[in-house]
Amino acid sequence: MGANQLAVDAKTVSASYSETKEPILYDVNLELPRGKFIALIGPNGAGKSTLFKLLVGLKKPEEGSIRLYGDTVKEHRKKQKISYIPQEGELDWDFPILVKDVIKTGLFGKRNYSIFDKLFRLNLYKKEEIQKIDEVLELVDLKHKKNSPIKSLSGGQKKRVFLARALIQDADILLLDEPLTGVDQQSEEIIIDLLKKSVADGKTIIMASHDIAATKEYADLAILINKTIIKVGDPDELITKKWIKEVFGKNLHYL
Amino acid sequence: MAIYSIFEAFFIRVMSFIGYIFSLLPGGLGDPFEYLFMQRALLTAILVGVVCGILSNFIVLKKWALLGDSISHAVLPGVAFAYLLGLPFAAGAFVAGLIAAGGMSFIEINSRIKEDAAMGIILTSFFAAGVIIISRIATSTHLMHILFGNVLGVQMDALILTAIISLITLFFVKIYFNELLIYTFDPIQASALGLNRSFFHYGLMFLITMTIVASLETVGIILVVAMLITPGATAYLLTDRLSIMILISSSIGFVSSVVGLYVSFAYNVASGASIVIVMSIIFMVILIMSPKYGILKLDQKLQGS
Ligand SMILES: Nc1ncnc2c1ncn2[C@@H]1O[C@H](COP(=O)(O)OP(=O)(O)O)[C@@H](O)[C@H]1O
Ligand SMILES: [Mg+2]
Repeated sequence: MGANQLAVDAKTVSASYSETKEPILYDVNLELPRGKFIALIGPNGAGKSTLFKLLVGLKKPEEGSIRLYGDTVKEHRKKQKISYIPQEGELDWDFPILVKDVIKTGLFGKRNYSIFDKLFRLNLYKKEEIQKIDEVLELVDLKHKKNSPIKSLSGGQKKRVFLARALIQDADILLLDEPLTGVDQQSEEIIIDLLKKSVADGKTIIMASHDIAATKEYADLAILINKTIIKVGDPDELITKKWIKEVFGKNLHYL
Repeated sequence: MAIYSIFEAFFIRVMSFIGYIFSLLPGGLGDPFEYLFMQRALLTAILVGVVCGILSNFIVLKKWALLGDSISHAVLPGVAFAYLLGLPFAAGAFVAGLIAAGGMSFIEINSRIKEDAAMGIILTSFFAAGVIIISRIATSTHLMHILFGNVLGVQMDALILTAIISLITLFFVKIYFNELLIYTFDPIQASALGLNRSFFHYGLMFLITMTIVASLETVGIILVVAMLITPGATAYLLTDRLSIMILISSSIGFVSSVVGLYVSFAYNVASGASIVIVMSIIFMVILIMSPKYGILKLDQKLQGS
């Protein structure tokens, strides 16, 4: 497979937060194919969220290089083809924003209004775009919550809103940071269902997860991570006692 | 300068219009605003109130209250030096604000000291340096004016400077509203969408510093931070939408400035403090009465009955 056919191509990447100095991630090498459902598995503090921050360009790697769909992270960001679905603790849920406004932030890249328009027009959204918001909310079964503040939603509903945003953005790569943690059954089904459909449409999905057992059911590929990449491979082969022990450092009872 | 005279001509018209409107009020209620200095003071206070009101939303949502307080105190030595060298106050204040912001980041990045302690140290040391310089070179009246503002003595150039800063802020927030919304709510997605976060971070910091400089004469260094927090905090208790929050907070800034200035003139008390007190009273009322987020939770009570 040529390098340009990869969704993610990371070479010897390391990263740290300035306060801690010691690297959070080191020598990360990844070659992830396009159009696959990829599970990112590792214990708390393994650097899963940090890896996502590197992929969206929020953090710069200390060493190494990352390519997304053949572009550098910087080039790829301009195309706005990557979408991030945050971990529960990542955002301030008290933020004054309505569900429909969260979805609108996904439309952001599709607009190139002049500064003059931005200054003098009150409404920058077209009729089709507003219609599209209803459509994606329908997909995640949250149309009735369109005008609710985001804070009034349950954990699972919040995740679905962000998934809807990724859909309206029409992103190639969806990064989901523990989307199933603390999520109700109904939300989990809706989310997994939509993710499977997206993969069938050719999207690449990388999902950080704790639920190792469930991963086998939907993932095409699993990455075991703990500060560095321990192993990449077929979920059925990787998710065995031996490897889990390697990554989590202890036997996990739910295997 | 051409811009200056355009603004000057504009404000002279606005001021005579204000004078006319107030003269229509019955029972001598509008008398204070027939004076030119009161009209200038009113315009300046309104501009500062509205602009601080707009920026206060971002300060509240980004939890930058201490940062705002630090910058406002840190500009004092800059003002003092400018006074010493005969330069405009604004220039000195601005340079000092930048140095202080740089100093905070420097301490934070290069030592184990965390952000809040770094700010506290910079805030107090800069402020102390400023007080020392001023106590050597100027009268205590001057010091009082810088610390607590002197809006009744505002001259045309200060009004015009305030107007320019206000316009820049208004344009910035209107043009980049959607960007600012994503940047404050969801920085990771902002990054994923290719937004230049430094531009918005430093853009906001720059505007806050400029606004503090513009507010020096109106409310002074000590109280400006109230203008940069209270309206946003009040609006936050009333709505779940940033755009509406901005409208509410700027209205609070507007109303507080007008009422505060009036009270200040009528009872002959310090104007900056009056404006801040009016703001605080509005906050207190909303804190208790806000339908959804007030202490009384009136919303639920009404639905219950
Ligand atoms: N903003 C930050 N500043 C300093 N350290 C951080 C920051 N975010 C995460 N870390 C540290 O980096 C490590 C990896 O964190 P993270 O990537 O969030 O792991 P995971 O998502 O796998 O739980 C943890 O030890 C955490 O304490
Ligand atoms: Mg995490």
